[in-house]
Amino acid sequence: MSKSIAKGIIISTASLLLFEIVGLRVTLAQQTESKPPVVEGDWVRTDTNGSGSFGNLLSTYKQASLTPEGQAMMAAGGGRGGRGGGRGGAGGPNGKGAAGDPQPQVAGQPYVTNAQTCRFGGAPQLGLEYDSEGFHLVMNKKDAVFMQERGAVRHVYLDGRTLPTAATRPPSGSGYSVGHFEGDTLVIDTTDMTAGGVTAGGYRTPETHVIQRYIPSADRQHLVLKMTWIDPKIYREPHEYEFTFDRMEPGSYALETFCDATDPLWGQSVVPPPQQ
Amino acid sequence: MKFRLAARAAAFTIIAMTMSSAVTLMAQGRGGMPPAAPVDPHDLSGFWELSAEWKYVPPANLLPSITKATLQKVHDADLISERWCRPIGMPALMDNGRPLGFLQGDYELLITTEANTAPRHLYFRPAHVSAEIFDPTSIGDSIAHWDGDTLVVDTIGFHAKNGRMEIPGGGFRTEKSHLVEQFKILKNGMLSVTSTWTDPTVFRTPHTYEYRYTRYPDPNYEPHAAIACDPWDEDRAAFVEKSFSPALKAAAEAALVKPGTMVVKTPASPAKK
Repeated sequence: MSKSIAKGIIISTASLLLFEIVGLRVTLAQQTESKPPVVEGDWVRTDTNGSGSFGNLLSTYKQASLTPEGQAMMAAGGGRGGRGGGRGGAGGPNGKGAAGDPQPQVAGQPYVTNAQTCRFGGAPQLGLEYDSEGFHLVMNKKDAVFMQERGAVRHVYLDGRTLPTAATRPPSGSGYSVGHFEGDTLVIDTTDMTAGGVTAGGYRTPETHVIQRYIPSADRQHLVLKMTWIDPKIYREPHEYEFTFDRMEPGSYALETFCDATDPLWGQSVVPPPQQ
Repeated sequence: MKFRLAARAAAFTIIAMTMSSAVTLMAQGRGGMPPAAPVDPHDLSGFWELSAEWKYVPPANLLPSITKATLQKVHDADLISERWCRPIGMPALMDNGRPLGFLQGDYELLITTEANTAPRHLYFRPAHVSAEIFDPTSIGDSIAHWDGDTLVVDTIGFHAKNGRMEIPGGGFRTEKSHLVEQFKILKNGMLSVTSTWTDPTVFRTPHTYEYRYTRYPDPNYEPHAAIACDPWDEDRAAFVEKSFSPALKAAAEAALVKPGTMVVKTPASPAKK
């Protein structure tokens, strides 16, 4: 073998070795980057048996054990806090022959009853608790965004930042949330919420914390959300309950819902369905 | 001689490995020059803002059937939507005066903004939701895929009335509209979004315009909740209706259904046997 060929073989081999080494390092670097566990996606709530009457749904929840101070707060300003916007406003006249419809009102037919449908009490914000609507979660390493289908979103910061004090940031319906993973469980700590009621007889103020643990099943098709409200001024012990969710089928999509003051369906009376 | 060749090859290899390690270490911030901020062209996450000089919007080529009267009717409908605080939807949310928040996850790219609108879901899927089950929305059904360094987004399924219908440059969207967007981070770090609308009932030829967004300078920016829109705020209503003609104002107020009005007649209950 001539010297030049041998030289070429050695240099070529060295070059190939170089590319392999660089490629291997890139691959290893990519493999060591952590990908977020799969709580991301679209979820629908499943523990809604009895939700036709909220009393039945909540009858399975352990009621909050309140301190005397917490009981006083509830008495003064109870009611579910944090959800901005939606229906509301004073009911209007609902008598026979009301303006807008010359015919006498017929029993069993729906009529517009609200005078100021969609009157908002503040900026639309996504609440921390869920009703029968599903939720959609999109996330990367720094941020997780929760949304339902009424437009508002809620950010949970995953970059290690600390929670602000109420003095540095005005409270909001969604509060301020930071999160991290413990294995596959997404753990979120939220504070700085506006005052108001909480499920199953609880209450919250800007100083209250709520810990949410989103726990996926092994097959990632089911989710348990454990809620723990902590505030020594309000609760004798942490106030806990949970919701359950199923992952929506592939191909599901977020619906769009908004309160339209000009749509009579948003301001109508509830009419029982025909009985067979 | 053989030893020299082997030594050169070994030296070459060692130098290459050292350089590779140095690049990695510098990227980790340890030693050497400070690392340049890496830009991943396949990750659009972040906050982006649009200023007036970074819009290229040529006039649309409209069908002859789209008369001035037709355009005025759509414009008036948009004003009434604004009066009653309906969500703005597409395409208005892409230029709503507030930063856009892009969050790229595994299943979708989510676009949020601090305005009265639904967020956009750009699903990383090969096909749209079946028209038989999809409820049209003000933002439509968007699917996305990467074509090199360009994210191509295809949107259909727009609602006939929800959202602001007017399109920059002229024309308006309908249930038949089809929007193709191309999102690309340019060499200067700006995000280019090219939008092409087609609609057989509105445009004679596809209508294309481009916006270029600047990445929001504060890496720790925290978005605010949208400013509340209260349709019953009398000061707001008076201000919004300031530019309304008397006829438009009357139409806006007539859109409200007053208490006592029957909603929809439901079938009577069957007679009991």
